[in-house]
Amino acid sequence: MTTLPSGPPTRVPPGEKATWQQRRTDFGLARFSGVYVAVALIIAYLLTVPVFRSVDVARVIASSQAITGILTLGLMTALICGVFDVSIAANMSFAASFVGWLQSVHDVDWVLAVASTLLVGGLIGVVNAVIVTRWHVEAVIGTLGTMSILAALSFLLVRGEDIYDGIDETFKSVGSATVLTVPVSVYYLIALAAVLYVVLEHTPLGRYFYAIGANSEACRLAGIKIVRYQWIGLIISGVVASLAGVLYTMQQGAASFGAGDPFLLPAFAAAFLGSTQIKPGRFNVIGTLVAIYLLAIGVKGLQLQFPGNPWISDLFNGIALILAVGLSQRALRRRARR
Amino acid sequence: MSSSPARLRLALAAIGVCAITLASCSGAPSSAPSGGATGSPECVSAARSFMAGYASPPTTLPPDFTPLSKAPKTGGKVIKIFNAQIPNDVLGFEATKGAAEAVGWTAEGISFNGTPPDFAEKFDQAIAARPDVIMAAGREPETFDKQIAAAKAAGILVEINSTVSPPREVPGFGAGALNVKPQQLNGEIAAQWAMADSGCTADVLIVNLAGFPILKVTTDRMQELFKSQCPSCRVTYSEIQPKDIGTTQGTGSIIGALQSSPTTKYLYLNNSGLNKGLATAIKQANLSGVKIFGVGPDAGAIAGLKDGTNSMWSGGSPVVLAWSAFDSALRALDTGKPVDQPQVAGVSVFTKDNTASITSTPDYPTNYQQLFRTVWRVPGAA
Repeated sequence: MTTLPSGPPTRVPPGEKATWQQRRTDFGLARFSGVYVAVALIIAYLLTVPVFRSVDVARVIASSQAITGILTLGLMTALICGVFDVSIAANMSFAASFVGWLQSVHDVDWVLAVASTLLVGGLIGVVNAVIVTRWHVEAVIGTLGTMSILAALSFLLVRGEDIYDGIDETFKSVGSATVLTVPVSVYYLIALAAVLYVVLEHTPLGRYFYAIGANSEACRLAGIKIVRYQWIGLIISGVVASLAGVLYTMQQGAASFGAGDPFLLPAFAAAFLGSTQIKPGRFNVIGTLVAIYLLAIGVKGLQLQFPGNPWISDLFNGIALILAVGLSQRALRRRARR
Repeated sequence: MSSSPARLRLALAAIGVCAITLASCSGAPSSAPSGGATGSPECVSAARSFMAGYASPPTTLPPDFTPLSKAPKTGGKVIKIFNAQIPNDVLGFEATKGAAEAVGWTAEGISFNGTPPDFAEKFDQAIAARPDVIMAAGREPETFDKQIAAAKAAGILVEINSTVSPPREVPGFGAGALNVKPQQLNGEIAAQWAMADSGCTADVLIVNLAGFPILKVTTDRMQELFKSQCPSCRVTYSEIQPKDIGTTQGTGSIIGALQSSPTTKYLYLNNSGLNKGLATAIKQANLSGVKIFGVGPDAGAIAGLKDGTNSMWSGGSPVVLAWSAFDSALRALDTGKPVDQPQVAGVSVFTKDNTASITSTPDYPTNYQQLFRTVWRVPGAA
């Protein structure tokens, strides 16, 4: 189970209007440190890196993080209900190979291939749920095992090779199209984020997820069917991970073997950094997006200014993670003392 | 007191902005001269003349593949240590089996997981099996000296491919292929192609994988050639960490370098893995006219040539490379002296014009098995 330190209780009692002071502090570092750092970075880069002023750079930043964003949102859903799903990246890799394999080797229609892949992603979520909730294997260990099995299955499926031939042209164009010059993958991310935002923030399901993640024992005593919601969380995580694999394959026009593997750490980093933003102490959709794009903006500017330094993005990611979380925690502690 | 935290936040923000501004202003100086408008005729002529040698696929083995003094003794055994997670390694092992069978030998494979400790363990396992030859690739011999010494003591020939260290003695580390000279040739082909294609005005971004000395041999040779032959060319060198291959971080780094230098229209990749996702990223960045070229094409690179997103790849098929590597071992055993093969067989240049009907690197020369059997003096081959 995963629990994060929750933020301080709201300072505005229900039914009362927030004072100017209360409204002002709502935009403080405790919630918006990532946004402020991102804005500071944008200003600094606009002033000092001429090429950063190009619309193309904004487009690259937006589109390059779309797949990472989608995968992170899936992971976040599992984390909210208190379960680590370490298998998401392997699930994404398997989905990428599977959707290509179905089309290339078995000549399956691309719509059916996508539907089958998402179904398999959901089944992987079910398997994880059985391991974690029925067999009572610790989520990290259980999904780590699933990750390893999925890696083996992916290899067996395609013999470790990328698939380029036999992938439907319509399938490719659905993933690589642009709408108003913005790659369609960005819209997929926005749509998924909107759906998850509504579900998690404005429905009983979302509230149960958060409650279980915060204190599962209290939820159990309150009669909430914890296992059912954790199943739902893991199935959503599985389907979204496979969606990320499908979209990645669509975008690249090829099924890359192991495509999801490099996304594991960025997804976890973004999810945890996101939990310090907007709603500190809670994994949340907007905070996750802020985290993803904060890191992307920072790295992009440095890549433009210092091309040819392969270490620079790692350095920035590490510093940004520590700084943003540190600033947020410091602000939270300060607020708690008042 | 609310003003103190507010001042602190302001100060923090100001420090952040200033630090980034200062860092940005310190900027990395360009490592290359700015390009000119036209290239020298001598450069263009030399480049085109060089590339004419690669206008068609090879039909013979390189001149260094002279006949052995006698046919290898039959019944020999070679053990190849390879990474089963890498398709080309698997393909190379299968091809080695074919090459071994051609001279009446047997070939066994031991798969390792890509880590140094596992490699050392599997090397010890190979020595214990007492073969005539142990083959491995991509590891500098200095990192497993103990195993090489043990192999030497057991009278085993060790062949290490894709290393900067020259073979030393037979038995022991006495054979190599795809080492310094073949890698330099890769660099020459790439540089000459870019010069010929651009009329010697190429503005090139060379992207290499960090941490592999043997790959640096190729890019160093490229840079030397551009410097000596093409005064109007501009070259920028960049590295990517192996862990970033095929990731958004890796492609982002390459795209960033291209965006920061809009005049760069030639992108050289020293590993086909770097090509993953790059064409899509270039399209999204609205970078027009960038020509991707490189060495060691995989299926993705061939697909890129066919759809026009890639421009040129050079290299040979893993199968013919494996036969070339086996030739090196036979040659060392034949002469009793270290053999560092100066060339490998089957090196070809692939462009859109000659890839319409292929999906992977073809086995050139097409009759390579017969040609190798002939130089190995296999009875009945000539």
